[in-house]
Amino acid sequence: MYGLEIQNLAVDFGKFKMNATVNIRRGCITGLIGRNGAGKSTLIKTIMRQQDALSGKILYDGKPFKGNEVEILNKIACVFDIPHFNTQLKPKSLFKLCKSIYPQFDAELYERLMKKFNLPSDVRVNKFSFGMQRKYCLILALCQKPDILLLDEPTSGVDPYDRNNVVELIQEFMMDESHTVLFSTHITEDLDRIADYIVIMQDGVITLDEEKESICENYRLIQCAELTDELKKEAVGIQKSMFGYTVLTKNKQISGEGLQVKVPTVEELFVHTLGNEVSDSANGRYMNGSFGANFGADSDDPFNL
Amino acid sequence: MKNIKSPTLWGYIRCCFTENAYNQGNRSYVLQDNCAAIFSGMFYIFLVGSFGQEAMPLLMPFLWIMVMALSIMILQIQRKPSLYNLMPMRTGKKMVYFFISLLFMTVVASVIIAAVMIVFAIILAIILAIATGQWILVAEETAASGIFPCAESYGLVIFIALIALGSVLIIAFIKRRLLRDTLMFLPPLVIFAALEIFTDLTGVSRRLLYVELGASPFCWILLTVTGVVGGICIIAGIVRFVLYLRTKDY
Repeated sequence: MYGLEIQNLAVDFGKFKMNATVNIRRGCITGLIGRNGAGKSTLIKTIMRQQDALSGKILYDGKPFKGNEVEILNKIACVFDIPHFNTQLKPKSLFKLCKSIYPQFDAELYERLMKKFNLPSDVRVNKFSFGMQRKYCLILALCQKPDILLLDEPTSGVDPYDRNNVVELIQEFMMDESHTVLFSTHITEDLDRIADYIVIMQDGVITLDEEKESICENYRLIQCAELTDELKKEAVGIQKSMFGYTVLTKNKQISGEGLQVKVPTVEELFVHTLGNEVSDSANGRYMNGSFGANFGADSDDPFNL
Repeated sequence: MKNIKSPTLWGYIRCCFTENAYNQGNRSYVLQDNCAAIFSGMFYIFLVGSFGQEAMPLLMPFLWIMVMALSIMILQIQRKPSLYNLMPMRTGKKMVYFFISLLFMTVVASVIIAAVMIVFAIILAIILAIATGQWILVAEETAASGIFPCAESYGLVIFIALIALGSVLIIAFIKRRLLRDTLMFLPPLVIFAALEIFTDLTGVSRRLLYVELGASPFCWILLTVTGVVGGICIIAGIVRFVLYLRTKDY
């Protein structure tokens, strides 16, 4: 059963077009990763009806938005990339406001989380640091008691100690198996830690949507000093450094002298698959490599090496 | 999902007030709101001048505030994440609450603005009394009318109105948002408080002044300019509001 079913959700900004199809599983944490400008925030805002879509379909726990607005907007909460409220207010005023807007707003949880994150109640939110604002946005979202939580880079700018707290809070939220989380982030360590599914977005299109354990298991990261023809042929992504090359491949059988093979982390998967350019940090050159062209495609020298 | 209740009318109004403050200070709001205020004030003067109806002195600020409240409430609805946009409420109910809130805001704001105008007028009157030395006149007029002293001529009023209009433009382009927010409502206040103060300085009655002013080219120019600018913004805002309230089927 899906918490969110998104089918051919299309947005057109002229230079940027999105057409996303993805199902966010209920009871799971889905990590959404992609480069800047891939459309992650646009997707989240469109799901939250803060951005109009041209066409497509979204079902929230199997229900369409029209006719179920009250239920859906009560039970879906979001941490956007910027605060979605008047930051000139103090938390104590925002608390009263949110209580009047969301009847099931949890005052006790609010007090607990404000103490946990050590946030002041009588200082205007626009005086908070960036990290403090992110934490406060998360507090408001959690206290709404949602079933579906959409997080657009919630740990961005948050110090490592509180980032750990945020991740634990998400895990605590997921102790209820009917809850759903969609977590967009560039901090892939967090996804390594808690995500069940990984969704990769590139140029407005979902290019991967699989269970985290299996996609990492399906790939191998090979470190080598020199690039052989076999490696070039089997490569999905290549990174060059002054120490040699790291090659991401789906071929789990590749081995040899001088090759170090391991299962990639989410970050390594992200770095090797999402760039149109493969960085050559030693020479300052860029070698062309396209995720779409090389993902399973045959090519003699897809990276022009 | 469980059947959850939507916010009450008070919750809606509360949200509108904070979202209002959130969006105030935007340059276009300064221009549009002040044009709406000046337009409604001049329209009132025109009505008085044309039909001699001065029986409803509160109509002028009421008209002004209503137009301004409408424009603020419509234009503050933007297609970006906000508590207002995320409020769990059916579209039809939101529209009904919108109009109820508009009336509520109009009444409350009318009282506040009228009070501010009165205080402002009294301060100006005191300054004038000090300048002209006519303390007794001020006291008598204030006692008799409750508020305002005498005016020199409506030429002075027009001069003040032009200064206020110019200040609208200046305020709109002030970069410091807090300062812009604070000064935003001053221009129309200046015009109409000054109008009230100066109507009687020469013994010219307010009604007579309105008749002359309402028939003057100045009035027509001001009505046209502010009506066009304010009207376009309000119509655009209404269209945007209607489109916004339409529940997209996706």
